[in-house]
Parts: sequence; C-alpha cells; structure tokens
Amino acid sequence: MLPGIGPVNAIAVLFPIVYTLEVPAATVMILFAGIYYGSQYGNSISSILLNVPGTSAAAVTTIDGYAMAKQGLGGKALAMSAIASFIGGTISIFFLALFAPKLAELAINFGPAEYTVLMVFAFIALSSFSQGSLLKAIISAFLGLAIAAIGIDSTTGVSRLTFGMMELYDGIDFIVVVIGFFAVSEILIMLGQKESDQSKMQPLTSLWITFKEMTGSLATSLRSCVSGFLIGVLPGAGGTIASFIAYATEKKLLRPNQFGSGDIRGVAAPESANNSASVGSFIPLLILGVPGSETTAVMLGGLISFGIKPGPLLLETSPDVFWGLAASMFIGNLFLIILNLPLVGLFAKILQTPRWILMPLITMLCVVGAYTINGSEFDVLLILIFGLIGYFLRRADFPLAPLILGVVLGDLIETNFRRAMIYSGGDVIIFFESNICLTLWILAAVSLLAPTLINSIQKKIHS
Amino acid sequence: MRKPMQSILGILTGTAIAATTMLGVAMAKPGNTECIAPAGAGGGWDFTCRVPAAQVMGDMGLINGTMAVTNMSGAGGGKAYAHVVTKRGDDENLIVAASMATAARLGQNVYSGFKASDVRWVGALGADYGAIAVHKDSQFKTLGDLITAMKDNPRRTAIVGGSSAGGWDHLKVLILADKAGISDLKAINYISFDNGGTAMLEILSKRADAFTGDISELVEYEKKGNIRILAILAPDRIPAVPSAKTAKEQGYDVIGANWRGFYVPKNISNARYNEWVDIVTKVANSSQWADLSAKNGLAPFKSFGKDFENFVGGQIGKVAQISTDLGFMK
Amino acid sequence: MKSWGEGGADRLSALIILGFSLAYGYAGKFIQVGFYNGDIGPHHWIYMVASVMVLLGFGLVLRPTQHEFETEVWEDWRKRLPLVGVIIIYSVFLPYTGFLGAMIAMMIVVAKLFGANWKQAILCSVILSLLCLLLFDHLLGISLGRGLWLK
Repeated sequence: MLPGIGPVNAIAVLFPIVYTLEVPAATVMILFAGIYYGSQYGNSISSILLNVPGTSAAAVTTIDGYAMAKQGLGGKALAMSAIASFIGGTISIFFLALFAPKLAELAINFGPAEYTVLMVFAFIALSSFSQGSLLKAIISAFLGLAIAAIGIDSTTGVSRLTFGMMELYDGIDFIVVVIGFFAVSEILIMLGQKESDQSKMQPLTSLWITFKEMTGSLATSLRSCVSGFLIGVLPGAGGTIASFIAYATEKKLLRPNQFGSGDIRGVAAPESANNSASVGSFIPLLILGVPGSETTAVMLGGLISFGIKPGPLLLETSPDVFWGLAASMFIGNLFLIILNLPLVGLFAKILQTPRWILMPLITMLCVVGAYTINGSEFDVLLILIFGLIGYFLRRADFPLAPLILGVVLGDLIETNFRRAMIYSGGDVIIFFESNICLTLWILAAVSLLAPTLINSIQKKIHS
Repeated sequence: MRKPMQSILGILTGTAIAATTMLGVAMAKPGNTECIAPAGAGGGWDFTCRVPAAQVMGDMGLINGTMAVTNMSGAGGGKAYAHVVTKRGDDENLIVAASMATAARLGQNVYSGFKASDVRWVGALGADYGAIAVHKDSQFKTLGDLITAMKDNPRRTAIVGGSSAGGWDHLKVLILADKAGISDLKAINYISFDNGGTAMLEILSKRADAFTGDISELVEYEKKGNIRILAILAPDRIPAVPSAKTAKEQGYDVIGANWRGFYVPKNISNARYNEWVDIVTKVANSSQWADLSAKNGLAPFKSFGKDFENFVGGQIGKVAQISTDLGFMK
Repeated sequence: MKSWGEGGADRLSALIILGFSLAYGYAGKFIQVGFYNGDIGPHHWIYMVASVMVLLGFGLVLRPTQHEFETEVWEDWRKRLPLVGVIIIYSVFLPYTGFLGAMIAMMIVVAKLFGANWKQAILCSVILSLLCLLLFDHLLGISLGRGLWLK
C-alpha cells in the first residue's frame, strides 16, 4: 500500500515462489488475480488516507478521497473505493467474456493517430481538475510532459536533457515523481504552523456508506466501468487515462456535485474505471499477444512459463485458459471485497497514530521507496527537489493530478504523434481521417461544452 | 506530556503499520536472479528472457529459485543498456537479453556513447532470421512487388518494425533496398514501434504496408493466415514456415541473422561471469531448448564466452561499416 | 511583501514558468540529434513543449486568477529547512554510514520536528529503522545501503 508497490511488483515477486511450489496453473491464475486486485486496492488506501498515490491510476482517487479523509470520512471513502472497484471489476469481466474477440478489433484499429487524439481527449479532461483556473491545470500537465521527456528518446535512442548525468539517462522513474510531488510536499505542508492546525484530521465519524450514497454512486460506477473498460482494451492506454477520463466525465455530468472537495462519487468513478480498465487490458493480451499494461506483461510471462502462449491462436487452441482466467478474476474480485470491507475501520485508524510516529514513518518510507527503485541516492535527492517544487506549486494553487497525467502520457503522446506524422508524411489530416478519430473529437467537443449545455438545459427545465 | 505507556503503545502501533506497509515496499525487487528484456513483452528479447532464461534455466535447475523477467522498453534497447551500465554495474544476479539489434545499435554508437566493452558478453544460443511480411490482402504478392513500390513511391510505402530508427529491423530493409539498387535510402518510410508485437498490429489493421522483423514474431500469424511472408532473410528455408521463400530465391542475396543471447554487467566477478557462460552453454546444448527454439522459428546458432565477445565485436564493426556505406552514419 | 496585489501571485508564478520554459527550450538545442525519419525529430518535441509552456505562461500573466499566496512564514521554514537538510545529509552520508546510521539520525530529526520529546524520538527512530533494515536486508536481501564498514 505504498508508493511504488503496484500490482506489477507484487506479481513479479510472488510468481517465482508460486512456480517452485508447482501448483496447478488455474490456482496460480486465481492467486494472481487476487494479488492484483489486492495490491491495487492497497494503493487506493494510501491515496485516500495519506494523499500518496502508489500508482499513476490512483492519482485521481487522491482528490476526493483525501478530501473526504480530512473531513473524517476516510472510512466511507475506503469502503466506496472497495465497492466501486468490485463493481468495475466484476461487470467488466462479463464484458470480457462476451465481447473479447470483437473488442480485439478495436485494439487493432487504434493506430498512432487515434492514440494521439485519445491523449488530446485526456488532456481536455484536465479542465475538470482545476479548482480555479484551467490554465494552471494545463501548465501543470505540461510540466509533467517536460519531466517525461528527460532521458533517452524512445524513437531514435538519443539522450535528451540529461546534461551528462548518468542517473538521468534512464529517465525519471514515475514513482520518484509521485513520492516527491505528493508525499514529500505533503510533509513540508504539514510542517507549517497554520497547516498543521488546519489539516488536522477530523475524528472518524461514520464508516458505512448510506443507502442513498450507494444508489447515488451506482450509476457513476457503471458508467465509469464501461468507459474504463473500452480504454483498457487499448494497449498502452490503461488505467491512468481511464481514471482521469471517468472522473472528468462524472464531474461534468453530475449536477450538483462537490467533486474536488470530497464527493463520494469522485472516489467511485476513478476506482471503478481503473479496475475495469485492468480487466480490459487482458483482451489485447489474450487475443493478440500484446500486453496492454505492465501487469498484463507480467501475467504474459506467467502464462508462457506454463506453456500457454497468448496470441491469435489462443482462443482456438486453449479456450479453457481464457475462461479460467475470467473466472479467476471474478473470484479475485470477490475475495477482495469480502476481505477488505471488514478491515476498512482498521485501515482508517492508521490516521489516529500520533503524528510524531506517523510522519517520521512516512518520511522513512518515502526515502526507502525512492532508494530501492534503483539503489541510487540520486533518487532520494530527486524526491526532495520534486517535493520542494510540489510544495510551491501547491501554495500557488496549481493542481498536481494533471502533472501526473503529463508524466504518464509524455512518452505515449510523443511517440504516437511522431509515428502518425511519419505515416501521413507530415500532414495533420491524419488526425481527422478515421471514424475513431472523429468520434473522439466529437466526444472531446461534447466534454468541453457539456457543462454549459447541462446548465442551460437545467435552467430551461426549472423555468 | 504523554504517559510512557501511551508512548510505547503508540510506537507499537507505528511498528505494526510499518511492518504491514513495508511488506508492500519490499516487493520492489526480488533477491534472486533477474533477466531484463529491453523491450515490451511479446517481442524477441522478451522471448529470450522468458523461454531460454527463465523457463529452461529454471527447469534444468541451473539457477537458484526462479528468474524474474523485467521488461524495460525504450530506445531500441538503449534504455536497458544505460540502466545496466549506470545503475546495475555490479549486479551478479542479472542477465540481459541481447541480439543482433543490440550490436547494431552499438555499431552505430547510438547508445548514448556507451560501448560494447561497458558490459560483458555471455553467449548466443540461437538465431532468428529476418523476414518481411505483409497483410494477407496486400497488393504486394512477392518481394519484388514491394521493392518496386519502395522505389517508385517510398513516402507512401510505410514499413513498420520493432526497433527504433536505425535499429536492426530498419537496417535489414535498408540493406535489402541497397541490394535492390534503391539509391535514396533515407526516403524509405520506416516507422518504429516498441516491439514486434505492436508493430504487427499496424499490419493487421492495414495501416502499414510492410513489416520488417524476425521469423519468430511471425509464425503464429502466418499459421492463423493473417499475413503473408514475402521473404525470409535466411540462407535456406526454415522448417517452422516451410512455404516462405528466401530473399535469395527471389534474386536478392541478403541474409539477416538476428542471434539471440545475453550480456551481463561489467563489474561482476570473473567466477560469476564464467558461471553464466557455463549456464548459457548448457541451455544452448539442451534438448529442451532445441525443441523450444525450433518451435519458435529459431535456427541453431552457438557462440559463448571469449568467442562470443570477439564475434560481437566483429558484428559491431560490420554494422558501423554498413551504416557508413549507406550514408546512414557519419 | 504582505500583498501581491490583484493577481500578483499568479503573475509571479507565471514569470517563473516563463523562465523555466525558455531554459527548457534552450536546453533542447543541445540534444545531439542523429538520423530521424519524417519531419519531427527528438528535439522538436522539446521545442513544442517549451513553446506551449511559454504561451501558457503569457496567458497566466494576462489572465491571472484571484488566488493570493498566503505569505510564507519564516517560522514554518525553521521547521522545513531541517527536513530538507536531513534528506540531503541522508543521501550524502548514506554511502559512508550505511542505512542504519543515516536513517536513525534522519528519523530523530523528523520526529522532533513533529513534536516528539527526545525519548520518544529516539525510541521511535531506532525501532522503526531496525525493523525496516530487518525486513529489507535480512529477510528480502535488498540492500538499503551498507556503508563503508560492511562492504
């Protein structure tokens, strides 16, 4: 449940152990699915309670989750996160079972131009992440892009902006960015006199979600599940874009809302989208042999070691694997909710640990987390630098979630843009040619205009 | 002031939290062996890590426990190379999948100034010959058709591959084009993707006209009937895809052997280096590997230790020369 | 220093952003560009990001929000600078002292900053650091920095 420990690492570490134990493949898959969901939920815990997202996809959850935790509603947020994850995860498994081969086509038809437009769409979603000014959200995202460009260029292999520093050749690890901008800047803010009084956590009030909150979030979870799933199907896009877009859509669709200051639906949307995106990413893996996310890449390794080669022939040669996987994901999901819901109260109590223990502990985990990525002291210095920048950005009212989006999208948007331009011989018409591109542009336009439209419709109804 | 009992309780809670949370952090790195595949899953380097390394070494009991596979894509292997040289220089438990593509990049000096001598070369255990493929409905029926299109309308003939610009997949096309008498090699429209798998999607969707890669990346799609292999760049036909003609048969005498092997960090002990050489030799000579490699379209190709280091050095020199001849490198 | 004026706070951040983007774009000039296909090379992306940021920066100068900086309180930085200091010291001294020494020292300072008394700070730091070391180094074989004497 800490920065950097996503499902990928959990599976990568546990895989060898399971392999030596010689358990049957089906059991292993169920176990993996369990770990996968479990660690993903763990990341939601640290996002909500500590404002430290462990994966890029969880960055969105911090916005309303942490706001709720500050109001003493951390338990509710955690419970909602578990429920929304369950909804997103479970329903998307049915999508997987029903539409897998058809959706593989979507993955194939999504080329560089389509990806580029999708990224633009994701950037437009940013308008939902600015509390005050849209300009600041965009600047924040571009700072993320600027950070992402450091290191070796994926297309040509030349090093960029490394200033001869060996440590930068690799680029800056995403985890370093997150620990720095979120956790370290949070510690700096906590050290302020005023902030430490202001941000004192309210005592925990209720843990349980009311029936009304449940029904209110249900539609949000379902919508986010569908959009998340579709985005997850595209190799490379994954949970981050899914959670950002789901949050932005809900914020625009739902009136009235308190998104940004602790709306429970602001937790439900990204959590549901993220989980269903990770199910969706199994489609390119199983049908095309192309892993859609880091986690599925690790899973691919697992399958290959068991003599199963995902690819165009999988559904014909071993359909049992496909169905077994779907079933095991469902069981993994079920386990998650059964195990976690009763523990929500316990997790929420973490915040009641005295500050002089909790803060040194968080500091230690930040430093250790940064160090162990590469075993380099340089990364420890980097989290400090990012922490200071993050502190000033927060003081100047720049939202940080867009920055994370920028860092995650940087390489994707650049390489796909460049590929598309090579295809077209430098003609931007390529971004308007295919039906998918046009659909995405329309969606983008709708999402820009939606708030005004909905407002005027509501006014008409009222008048 | 707190009462002492309360402080102790507080610390205990703290440690309990620390213990549970750190179990999470701890998963960041396994203590046992690791193989880095310098590209995303599904491509050739990934195969080298997952099958001969993780699977066969594990099955034969040559390593303790099992091997973790890390995918580190970027810059045609340059990212992983820089990572190994700068950050993992003395990691005794690390091996990295390498291939002709690695040597090609080193030959062109595009690994940000890193040299072949910045790592130690362990051995090669098979070779994957180059192949050119198109969609099954493509207008190009033979290699000659494609080459004519590349000559007449290079900008409109998009060729995709899993290496970055100037990488091995790109070079193969250039060498072929050079052989075919195309003079403006820079006009050839090559688009780089993270790995052969994602590049293949461009063919399946008909966005790109031709795919350059290795045979092992094509076997499954060929069996399924999605693609047509125009030519393989091997001396003879390959049993895995018996119907595919060699380039030589069609009048273009080009052979592109993409050997598959490993390198290790430079500063490990000699004893450990020799151990790795021994392990790779054993894998290469095993019947399990013979079977697995044939199934995946790999031809036998063995070279280890000192021999292999010399061989790689020679290949790098060759690529440097080709690239200069082609006007690709100054 | 008390008041930044109407939108002054945003103008200040906008100027900093402008400066950063110009420097960023300028740094793009030093990329050693090799062969690239098509019209967009590795350096052009840097220019694109930099120029958009310049535009955004100008935008913020022209249309600042009403957000006001709460003036930085020196008192707060008297607590923050030690944190900055110990993290720097940690990364500098880690290769020499090893994890345990550096971490205990750092944690004591952080605990003190958050209001622990000496006894609590020392107890908390030692226990947590030892636990961390036990978990990583002994149970999982991940080195956290061993220092000079354990090489």
